[in-house]
Amino acid sequence: MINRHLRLVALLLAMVLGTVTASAQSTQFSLGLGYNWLSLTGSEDMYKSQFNARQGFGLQELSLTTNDPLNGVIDHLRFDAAGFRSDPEGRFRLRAGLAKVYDLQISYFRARYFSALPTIANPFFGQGITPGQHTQDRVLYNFDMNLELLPGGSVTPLIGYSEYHASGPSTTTYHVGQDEFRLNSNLDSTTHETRAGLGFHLGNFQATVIESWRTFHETTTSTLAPGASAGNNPDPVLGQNQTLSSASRSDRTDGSYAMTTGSFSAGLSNSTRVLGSFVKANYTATLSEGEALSGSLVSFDVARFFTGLNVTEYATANAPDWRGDARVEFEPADAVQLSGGFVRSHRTVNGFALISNLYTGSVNYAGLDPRDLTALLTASNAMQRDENTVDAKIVLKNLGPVRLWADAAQTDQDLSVAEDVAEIVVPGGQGGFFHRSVKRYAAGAALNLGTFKFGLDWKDDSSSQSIVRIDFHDVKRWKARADWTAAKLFRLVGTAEWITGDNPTPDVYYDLKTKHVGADLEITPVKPLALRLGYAHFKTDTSAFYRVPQDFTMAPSLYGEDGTQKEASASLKLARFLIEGGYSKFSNTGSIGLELDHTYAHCDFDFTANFGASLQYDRYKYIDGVFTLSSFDAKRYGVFLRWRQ
Amino acid sequence: MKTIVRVLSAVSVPLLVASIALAASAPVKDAGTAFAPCNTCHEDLTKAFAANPHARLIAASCASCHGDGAKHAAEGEKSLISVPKGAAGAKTCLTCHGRTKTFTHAGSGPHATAAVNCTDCHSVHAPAAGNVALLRAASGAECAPCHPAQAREFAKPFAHHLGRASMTCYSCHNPHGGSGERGLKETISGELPCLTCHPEKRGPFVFQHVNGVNGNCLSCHEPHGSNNPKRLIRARIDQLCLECHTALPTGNLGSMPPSSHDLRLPRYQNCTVCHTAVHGSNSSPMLLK
Repeated sequence: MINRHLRLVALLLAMVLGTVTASAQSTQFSLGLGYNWLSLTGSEDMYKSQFNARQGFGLQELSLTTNDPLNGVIDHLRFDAAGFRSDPEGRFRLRAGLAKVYDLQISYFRARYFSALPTIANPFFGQGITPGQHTQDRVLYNFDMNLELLPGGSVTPLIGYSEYHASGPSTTTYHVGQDEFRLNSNLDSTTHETRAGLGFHLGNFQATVIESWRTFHETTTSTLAPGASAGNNPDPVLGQNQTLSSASRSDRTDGSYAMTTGSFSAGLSNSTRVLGSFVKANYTATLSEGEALSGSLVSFDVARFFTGLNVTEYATANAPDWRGDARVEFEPADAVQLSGGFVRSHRTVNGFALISNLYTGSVNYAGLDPRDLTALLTASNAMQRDENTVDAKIVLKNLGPVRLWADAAQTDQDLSVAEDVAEIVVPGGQGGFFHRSVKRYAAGAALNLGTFKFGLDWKDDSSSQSIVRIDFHDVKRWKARADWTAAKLFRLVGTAEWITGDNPTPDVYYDLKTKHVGADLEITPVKPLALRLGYAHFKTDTSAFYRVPQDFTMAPSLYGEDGTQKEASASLKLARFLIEGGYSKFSNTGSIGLELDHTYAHCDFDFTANFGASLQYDRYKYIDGVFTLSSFDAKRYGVFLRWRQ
Repeated sequence: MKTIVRVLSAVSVPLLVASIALAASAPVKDAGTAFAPCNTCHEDLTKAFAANPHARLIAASCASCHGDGAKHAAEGEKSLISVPKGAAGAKTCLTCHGRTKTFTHAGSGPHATAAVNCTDCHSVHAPAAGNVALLRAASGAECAPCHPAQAREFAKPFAHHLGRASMTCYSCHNPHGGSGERGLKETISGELPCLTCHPEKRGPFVFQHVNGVNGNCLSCHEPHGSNNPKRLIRARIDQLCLECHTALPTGNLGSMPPSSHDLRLPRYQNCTVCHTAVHGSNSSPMLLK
């Protein structure tokens, strides 16, 4: 599928290039192609999980821009592409159109996504076994096309199509028979979306209505991983070791639904505007699954030992979902803005899963004959959220170099959740009616003296209720920024941000403190030479109490970050020659200790006005403070040739 | 792929017919005459402007934004020509650009309040080379000077990679003002932009987790970059889960695990070893598969 897409793109590009080149009077074209070498020491898994850039050919740039009329079919065209092959991501975009006739935009995005991490789903981390039991090596792409007809007109038809695809192998785990077993898995997922609508532009009234149709297909096949027969738990259960000799599972999920979206804005007068939007979707999905396994297992749920299991499942979920909002904005005076809005969102989920289990070679704990089991699981829940927001803002603009603003707002949230959302652990605590009212006061000042600018913002959100435990009752934020430019010699920018938050509810005691300060200095002693220095420090501490499941005591959940980032870079441009290099060091202590250094040097040289070359060197050095085997040192060298017309 | 070809074909044919029919009305600007008399003193600007989308697509002239410049042209005095800048300049731009949904909140969003106006990021006359949105700097680079804390988050080990392929700040944010204070771009069905590239998390699931009830992707994940694997907001998964999943008489949403989950054992510190379908499941109420 991917290759077909690329062939289609190449064909389109060749056709467009040939046609445009034949008739264009002034066309800008550039192409940069080259090769990347990779030298890696240390953990390849961690490198690929973070960067995933590889060795091989790479497309640095491909772009084509023309503004010339093309036989009355195209009067502007732009195409650009980059990445692919040695880069984990690649994309192309095309925009073409004819004034007042059509505007076409096409984009394609492809990415390789890799994850094999030591701490994710890893019950053996303490024994030094990595990576964890959940890994992924997937390719995804996204194709998107939008066409607007009669752009600039009073009524503009809109047509669009999107396709998303993800596929590739992974490893996962399956909890069965009082143990967890590693599975090799393979995913193939595709989403199609077709849409059509109209845009309206009538004086001060603008509106858009779009109807979309989306289909979704996903297939996952899983088999027991080699060497995974013993599972994660080495201890016997009820005197019997838990093992699997084979396991296979195949899931297919299909979804199909329509969506309606609309939005409008209308200027009722010079000082009053009404805005609104509406989204309605009737999500549906069905799942069919077949599963077969054999081994020596125990189930507390049905009180039996068993040596094999055949499972068939059928599930379906339907979720009518809509959201509507309206807002009125009123400016009674130049400095005063008042607004009020209301949002209501509603979602109902009706679902059931029919699960048939056929146990083979099974006896219950009392030694009686087994029974087969058919279970019908149903889920029926609903969520409705209402939000009312009123907002008053004063902006004083005409105070010379000073600008002041103040804002007061209140948002009332009502959330109603019917029971029977996923009972992720044990039943209870999953439904009810919740109310939360948040008051916000904010103010800011800005000073603009031309070469010196300073801004200060303050915001305070307060509430006496929370819906989930991590909702804050009080959050304060201060943010300051200063920007000083001295002629063309240097520019100094400094920023600082402090955030504090808490939820003092007994047995929650959620507390957050975070601060960030940073400064960037750009020096240009002579025009071709630019130097840059940067420094930032960030610190975050959060704590919240939770109940320890095994003994019901309360314990603190503590998380901290304390880090710095230092950067230095320089660039020199002389006629046809550009060289730039830099170094940055990111280090963190706290809950996770790590260092990530980036060193780079790039050199561009133009042989002629049209031809040039570039050399690139990047080095990423990662030091993992928790698990040293995850550290890596990756050096990447690239040579590219460039043609610009 | 067949669908793509069908759609392209279905779109192309009427497009071609309409285009040929309307070809005669397609405007072609000549900088030498279309921008007179401004081009007498501002030749570089008018020459560049001829290739500008404003000139190409809507046949804009200098007067479209600068007003009547006859007096300025006659006397050469700078104060006699209107130069759109600041909030007043933004109103000039929004006269046309305010027509689309993208700009609905442009006049009242956070950027407008903070006195960040159109020409702070865009240059009508001197955009960065090869820039489709007439931006002054390369895509995404213009955000960093004002949002350095957010820009630095992308330097963390587990991060979305800005600048690689099509990932920019406005892959997820609408700088002209979107929903909420972060100006996030929503999908066509009003969801967070995360689902554009991660649609398998959308559901609907028979048994859903927080999706669509309370909280969202950002309840557990750092969108820009994180020190923690999977861009999680906590270093240990059991801490992340238990901060919500501790049932208390305070009436919050969220239940808690049974006492058989002994956190002293490593397998229970990794909740997702068993609860693999943490984003939602169609067959397991406990999100086991």
